[in-house]
Amino acid sequence: MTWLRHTLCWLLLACVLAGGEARAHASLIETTPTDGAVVATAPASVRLRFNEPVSPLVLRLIDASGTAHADLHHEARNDTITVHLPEGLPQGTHVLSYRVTSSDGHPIGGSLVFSIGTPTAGPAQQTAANSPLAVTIWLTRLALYLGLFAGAGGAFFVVWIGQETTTPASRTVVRTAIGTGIAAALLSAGLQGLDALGEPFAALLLPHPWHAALTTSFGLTAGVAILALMCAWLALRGKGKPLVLVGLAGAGLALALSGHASAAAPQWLTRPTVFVHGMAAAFWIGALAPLALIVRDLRSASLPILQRFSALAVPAVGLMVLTGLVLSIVQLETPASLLTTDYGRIFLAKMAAVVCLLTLAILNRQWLTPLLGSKGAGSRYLVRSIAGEIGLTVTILGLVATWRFTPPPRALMAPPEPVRMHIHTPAAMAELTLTPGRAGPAAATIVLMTGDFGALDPKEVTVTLAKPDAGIEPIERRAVKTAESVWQVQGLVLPIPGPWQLRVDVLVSDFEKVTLENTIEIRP
Amino acid sequence: MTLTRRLGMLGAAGSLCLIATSALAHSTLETQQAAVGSTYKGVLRVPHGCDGAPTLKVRIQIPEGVIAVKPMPKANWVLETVKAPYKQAYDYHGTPMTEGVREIVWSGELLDEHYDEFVFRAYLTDSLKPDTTLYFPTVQECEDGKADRWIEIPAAGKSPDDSKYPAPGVKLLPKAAN
Repeated sequence: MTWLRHTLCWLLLACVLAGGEARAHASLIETTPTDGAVVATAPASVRLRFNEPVSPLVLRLIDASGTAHADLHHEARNDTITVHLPEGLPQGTHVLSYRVTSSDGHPIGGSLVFSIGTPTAGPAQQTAANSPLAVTIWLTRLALYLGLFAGAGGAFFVVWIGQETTTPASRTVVRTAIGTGIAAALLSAGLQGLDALGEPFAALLLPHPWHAALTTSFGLTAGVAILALMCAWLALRGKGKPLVLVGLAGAGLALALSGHASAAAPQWLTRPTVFVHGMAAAFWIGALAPLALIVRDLRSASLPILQRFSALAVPAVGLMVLTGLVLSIVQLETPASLLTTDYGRIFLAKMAAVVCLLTLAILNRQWLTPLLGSKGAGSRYLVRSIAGEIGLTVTILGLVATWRFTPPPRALMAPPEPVRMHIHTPAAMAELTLTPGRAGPAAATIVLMTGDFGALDPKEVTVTLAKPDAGIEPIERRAVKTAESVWQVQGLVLPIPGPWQLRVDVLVSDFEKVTLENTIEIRP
Repeated sequence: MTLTRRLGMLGAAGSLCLIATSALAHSTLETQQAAVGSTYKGVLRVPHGCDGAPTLKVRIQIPEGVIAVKPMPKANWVLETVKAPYKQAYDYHGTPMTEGVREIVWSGELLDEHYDEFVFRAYLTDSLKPDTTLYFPTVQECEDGKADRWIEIPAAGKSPDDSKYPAPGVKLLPKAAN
């Protein structure tokens, strides 16, 4: 105990002495190239000079193609950190985000923006479609769609349509789908985080990609999908028929919460449309596998189930086609983009598969189902035909999962529509416009007023943008006054889409500053 | 006492140490608490310039309720004060005071790699509320038009540690019993 008391005394004394010596935060003094610079050729390294020696904690380069490089070689000597850049950087605008700690142990962070050749003009590219990560993301996304539709929709089929006449095999296939869906939803979330941070697969064992995924809209999708599948599972266990409806609605909701289609304007139209489209698809796709197994096992005894399914399938398929049509009009904008964009070509392939699927469905309903009723011998053909439908469904979902990597023509051709934001506090308010409102270079215009709509003529205005979930430290820019109460920032670069933390510091007088903060959503 | 508990306590002491030093990265007042109705000696500690640039001017704004301000002159620094009326009259040992120093300005030069202190004396009137923090917004003006403005006053429920440039503050204590 005496030993401990002594130690504590010494520690306290050390604190007092350390406190007496005034220590400072490190601050960045100069960089090469300078912030916002345009250089002709890719520099081999970037130098960051601080006012005192610092140790780098995190260094991350988001290059012009949107790829994040985390394992940058660097040297710290005296007060300067030299960061060696990877070879073969593309032309365009790059962001080097740093977080360092100085002698006082207090970390400081910031971002340096520079361009090679010319500043990036278009939106940042997404993950290369052929990387191993992209293939894994695609496979898990396909497994998630299959699990979600066959699980939530299959449970609905077994509980409401099959009722007492379902077979054990049909229940097993639905249970398997639910398990697959939950596992795929979890894994998809982690992979989404890896993709956002540009980390290798091994980082899945660390908490931060999962945390990053939670902050994206996809985190919500994965969570709702898991809950929906758990409801479906409980309903399958006989814990209450209505739970299966929750599961089915949850499947629609999960899809409506993220993705290209849900992000499209007008939101009041697209989100409910995706919801209905997803629910109808889950109903139909979910029924296929258990239906095939029941027809195989029960033969003509399965006729009442088939009739109950058919009665519901007609309106469901009608809804699915109708909502699909609405969404494709919103996403494609012009017929020409069907052939000129990746998104359009995938859409055409999906439509071809959908037409085959609908043909098979009509065949089943008009010809094979009556055959089963009249002779009882048609079951073999019907099972094969449904198996064909399942194959087509997997193809369609596989194509849909590819859309994860292709921005729709709407986003490619959309005029640079700005993002607007209004921040109002009792002391001041700001109307901020970011043009264009998508990833890439941008300019900000800020109109300032006092909290009660009076004139405000500040001494300085500073705009700070940060994206901590993607490891981008604050990018700070001083605004320039261009007209009465109008301030502008040119040459901002937002390398990746999603939510960004925005802060506007308004220096009202020498001694008074008003800080306005909010989150701003940057489109892909 | 088990080893783990010892280590835990050491860890706690160590983190206290970290908190204590990191607060000193800012411009702060040396004496961090004072009773209302007493004379306060403020020592402003300036640990660095603005992003490496030397400090040319230190300006301290005197908050309402703080009267009878007397700054201490410094060798090689020009001392000025800005006088203005108070919002109300304050009783100073039986004399009503209606105006006085509202801002202290020291002009000179302090290199980024050097450290200095700026001293003033002031009376904290009874009108100030005990158990609140009294802020002295301070501006460091530097070469090339740079400035570090220690003027951020935390919103209710927020800690000054959340600010990048917190205003130097003094925790007010209840008036000492006579």
